[in-house]
Amino acid sequence: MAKNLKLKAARAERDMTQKDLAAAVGVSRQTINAIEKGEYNPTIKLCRAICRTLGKSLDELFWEDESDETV
Amino acid sequence: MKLFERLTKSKLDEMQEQKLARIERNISRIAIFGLLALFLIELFLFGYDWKVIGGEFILLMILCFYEIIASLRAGVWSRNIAPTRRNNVLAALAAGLIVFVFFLFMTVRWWDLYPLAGVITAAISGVATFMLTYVLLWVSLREYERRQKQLDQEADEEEKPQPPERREK
Repeated sequence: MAKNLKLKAARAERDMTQKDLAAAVGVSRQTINAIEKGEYNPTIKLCRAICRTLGKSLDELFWEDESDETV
Repeated sequence: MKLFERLTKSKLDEMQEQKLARIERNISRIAIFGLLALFLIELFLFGYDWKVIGGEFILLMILCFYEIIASLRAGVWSRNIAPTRRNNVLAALAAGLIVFVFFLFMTVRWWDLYPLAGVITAAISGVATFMLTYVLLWVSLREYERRQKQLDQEADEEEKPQPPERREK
């Protein structure tokens, strides 16, 4: 899975650390780190919570090109 | 290699994988608690006959050690219990109490000629279990906190801005 750089950029836009984002959405810092590294696929519920916190849409943060997807 | 990949590739979709993961989790719970129950029942019925209880004990210890080590490496403590010293004391007290009660039953079963000795044995076993459990939990909690710090440090390293790549001449 590719790294989620859009999420990282959106977080930096809001001047939030991984810890801040993790606390805001109710997960551990390791989870946010794993999502950004592309090591963990969050549930749709978590994706929506992250999008709400960062003020972005699902497509803006979690859209992947077909070449990056591994199901 | 291709044959191995074909044999090990999952034929389930993501929802089915989640369901199977839940089933496998339940199997591991049944295995661990079932072995513990079997071990205690055999200990009660047959005493310290290692030819009878040895196999279950070894397998139970392997399963428990794997769970502890794998959880600590993943930086996970417990699903329901917070990693605090207070909770460790309560868990150690519970373990000591369970062992004390169990050895009281053993007194009834095996030491009906020496009830006082049996009660003293039960009390010593309960206190020893409390102390040993607390020490093991204390060590595990320290390892858990160390691992959490390590995972945070790794994440901090990732967050640092990377130096620009040098152009090769």
